[in-house]
Amino acid sequence: MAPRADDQRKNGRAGTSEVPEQFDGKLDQIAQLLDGGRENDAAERARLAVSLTNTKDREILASSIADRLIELKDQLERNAVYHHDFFEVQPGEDLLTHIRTVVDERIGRQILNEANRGTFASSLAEAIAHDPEALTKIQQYYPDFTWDPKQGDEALVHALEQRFVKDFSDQAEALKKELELEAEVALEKSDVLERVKDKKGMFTWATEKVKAIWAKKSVRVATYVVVGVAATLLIAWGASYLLAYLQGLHAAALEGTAAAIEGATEAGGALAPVSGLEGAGSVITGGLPSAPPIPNIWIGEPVL
Amino acid sequence: MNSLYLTTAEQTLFLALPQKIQEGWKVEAENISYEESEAKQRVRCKFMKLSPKIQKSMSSVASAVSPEGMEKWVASLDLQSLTDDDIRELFYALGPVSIGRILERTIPLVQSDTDLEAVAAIAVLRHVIFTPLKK
Repeated sequence: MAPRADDQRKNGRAGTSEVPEQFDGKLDQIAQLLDGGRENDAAERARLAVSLTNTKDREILASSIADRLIELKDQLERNAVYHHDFFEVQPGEDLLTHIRTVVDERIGRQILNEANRGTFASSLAEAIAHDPEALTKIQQYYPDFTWDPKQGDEALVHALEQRFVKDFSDQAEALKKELELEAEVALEKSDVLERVKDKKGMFTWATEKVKAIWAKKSVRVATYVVVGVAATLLIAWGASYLLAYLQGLHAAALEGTAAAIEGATEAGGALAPVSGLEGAGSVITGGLPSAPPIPNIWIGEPVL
Repeated sequence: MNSLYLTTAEQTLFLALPQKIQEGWKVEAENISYEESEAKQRVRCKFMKLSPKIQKSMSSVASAVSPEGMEKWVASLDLQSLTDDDIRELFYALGPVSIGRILERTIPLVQSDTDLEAVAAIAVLRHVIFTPLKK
């Protein structure tokens, strides 16, 4: 059996390399990358393992890993594998977003791929079983989780492993659906480029008008569009990686903003402020975690 | 450009505006067929590619977790510097449902030709971005 990365460090290789040779999204690699080559801390490793069991925490963790890879960019770029996988971006593509996506996808592969799933679950189970705090967290996440303590640590590891494999199978289904949706949106987006090319005159006229209304905040319509756009930017920024951070933010904040902007405009004598702006903000923030979800809507000809 | 691409519901709102404001505009029926969902809107937002200046604005969004912070952040957005590509990306991410809701809220507020031009522009963006090409 190949030695684990943390065993290698314990056997005198500690500090020789801050980073794993490659990054496939495995627990050992994540721990090695995030502890900066120092002696691996079992409690920290267990904490990471707990995060990896949970879809939302995994996204936040992917973001931390991406930040770490950026920190190590100068060093990592000398490694052809890292350079190719993480640091080669398309023109105009944001490097951090690209890295975050790749990291997320690599970790996702440990769960999506049936062959990887058992090994991944086993590594998490081993890390968690030996840390009481991590185990308590898992019992909070899975209140129905049970094992027979009389049967020793091995039984606990086995029970955890079984639980994670089952949960990862369910998560894999959700991930597959997400990937299918992403493929659908990617295809639709390429169609959008064609549509805009096809109606370039109309599109340019509209963009010029939109820019012009943004230039004049005294136009009441602009307020709604600004708030809508701001909400979209927020969803984009927060939905994937910082949902927890945005938990407290909901439509009311956007409504307040719209009212404040309009209030300021009113002070200039342009327009009366609007009360009860539950329109743009609340619809758009349906995507945010604290707001009610947007129901599936079919817009067919009878509706539009 | 004097066409207003409006859904049936939006047309009703438009027809309730003073006659003087309606003059000179030609209403076209908007018939976009689009299946929207929360998940799809999130993916569209996730796939947004914006110019560096707008991306930079995102780095200061952390201040927007309170209503006051949100106000400051929105006010700091330099939306006039958006490129045409940014506008396409943003309106695609918004999606036809959210754009429709914005239009439903804004049409009754129209008081001038300038207001109506803004409504028309938003409706045109929805029309161009979400109407499939005829094959």
